[in-house]
Amino acid sequence: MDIGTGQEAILTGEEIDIFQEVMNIAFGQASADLAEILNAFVVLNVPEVRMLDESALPDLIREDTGPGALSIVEQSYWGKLSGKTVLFFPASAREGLAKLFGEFSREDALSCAEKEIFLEAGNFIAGGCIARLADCLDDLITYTAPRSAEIRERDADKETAPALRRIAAVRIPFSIDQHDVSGLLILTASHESIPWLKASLKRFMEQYG
Amino acid sequence: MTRKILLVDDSPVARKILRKCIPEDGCFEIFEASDGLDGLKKFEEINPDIIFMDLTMPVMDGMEALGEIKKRNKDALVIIQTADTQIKSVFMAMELGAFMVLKKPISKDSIKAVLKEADGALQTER
Amino acid sequence: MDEYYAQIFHTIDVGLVILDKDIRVQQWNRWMEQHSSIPFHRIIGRPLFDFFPELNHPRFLMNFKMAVKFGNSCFLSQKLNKYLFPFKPASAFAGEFEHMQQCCAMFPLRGEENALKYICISVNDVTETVACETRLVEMNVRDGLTGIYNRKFLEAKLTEELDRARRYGRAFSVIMIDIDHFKKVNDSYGHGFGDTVLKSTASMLQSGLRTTDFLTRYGGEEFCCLLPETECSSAVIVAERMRANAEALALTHGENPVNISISLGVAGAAAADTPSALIQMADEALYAAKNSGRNRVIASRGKAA
Repeated sequence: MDIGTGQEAILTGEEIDIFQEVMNIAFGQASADLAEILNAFVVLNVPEVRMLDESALPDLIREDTGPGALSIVEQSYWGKLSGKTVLFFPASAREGLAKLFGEFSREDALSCAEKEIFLEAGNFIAGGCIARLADCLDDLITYTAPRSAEIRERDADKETAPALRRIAAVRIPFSIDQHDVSGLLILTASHESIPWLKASLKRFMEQYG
Repeated sequence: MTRKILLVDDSPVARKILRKCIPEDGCFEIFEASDGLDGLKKFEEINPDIIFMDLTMPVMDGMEALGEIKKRNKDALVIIQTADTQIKSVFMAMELGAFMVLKKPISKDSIKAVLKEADGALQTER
Repeated sequence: MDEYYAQIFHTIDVGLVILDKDIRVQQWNRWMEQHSSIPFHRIIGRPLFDFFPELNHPRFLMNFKMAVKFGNSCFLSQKLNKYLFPFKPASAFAGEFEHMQQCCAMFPLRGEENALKYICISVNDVTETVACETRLVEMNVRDGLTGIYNRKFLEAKLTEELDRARRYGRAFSVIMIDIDHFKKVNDSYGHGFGDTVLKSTASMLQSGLRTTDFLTRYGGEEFCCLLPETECSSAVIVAERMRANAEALALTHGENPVNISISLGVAGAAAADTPSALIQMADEALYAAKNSGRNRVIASRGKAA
């Protein structure tokens, strides 16, 4: 199947609506499960799905992230659905996360282990969301370990403009009550997995006749 | 007799799924609203027997809309639909007087059972 | 291939443990046997917590639940956890670590129909790497002569601490310290003795501090001390104690006793907007202490000039 051209690599308006509802269900379940594990009230807000070109992802990310120091945690996942998750925490989330994820001494939490706190927390939140999304779509997904990342500049003036690679990007603001933690999760489905995603969204609707 | 059902959900897909799960036996007349505020307006207009309410919606969320509906009619039968079954959310919905909290994803069977239970409650009320 | 997998499982230089959902040990590789001194046959089928009660702890349980509930991999970094299993360091280059430093992962193993059957834990010994890293980091932030933190560290830490004090509305103070007539000491007794004075002064200053305070060499014979969670008035008490200790410092050059004194300037973060303003305030107070006869403590009275 040639996925580089044609309509099979783009989600239609209706498919985006379905994907949005699937995300709603998946992230609702993920927040309930995370809440139980973390023993805190987790709010994953309404997800918003967009189709965009892969090269425009940094722009989308910048749109959401105003000024101020940010920690960024990136993970790749792959199953039939593949892509990556990018999580943003403001610097102010550090102490809350440290308390939430393991009762470290204040000193530990605030010094050298800063990056690791964001990585572990990021793995929980992004991993939980991906796991439930995979359940909803009847997929099985594995991930890479989380790593910290930086916002990359768009390579605007590359000599040979690459063929458009449409990806689906979902943005989900989240917060954890009473711990003063909030952030943003962006999940992308890769260009290669869009055809599978389309088929599986169709299956999802078909179960209701 | 025909029961009037109001579906309040911002997602057209979620409303479509729910519609497909409600038996087409002529016993139900279905209305839709796309957010909490719209839901409240339709509630006043059509006085539905059963309301299905999503929780996370723009403009006015489900929890607030539930509270407002209950203020207008404390006997209104509101079923909260959500995938987020954190104890705190469920507890809050029940506290506000929700008839039940229904876990997403729904199925034809779960909706059939819920409607039967709602019907029973409506019968005894009369 | 199965027979080969078993060989790999026992030969690999990584600890591998397989647990069932009730946290009972189902597999225990040679590496684990070797470092725990618990043989395979004793631990198999038994609850892990019977052997390692310290693992029955919210952090371990949280990660385990995460792996079971979501079928997710969890990564337990050395930086946050130091170690999971309390083993003795195996390496000769373990530095000062009491326990082997470990980098661990927890991941699900699935059986038929992708049903989650077991949780596998992998344990990597990273003690040597951590010891090396610690040494490198230390070298980078320490002053070679006195062993206390250097100016580079001060600048980073000051910004960080001031930010935190501001964000959480907490107190924070700094003390600038200068050895009186240090040039004279150098001229009369030579630079070798000057170094001794610097070292002795640094260790005297350090001995009076809490573990949360930071003593840094600001330059020459000048030191700067950061006191988180400390009001300016309390910092003055600390400074006064330092002054008295310096006076009591019994230094000798050959047979001759040498007396030194220090002047100190104290400033609280409440009145400073930036790290440099805070340092400037403490510096101005120090200058005032010098001008009014040395061997004394003066607290800044507010805004930097």
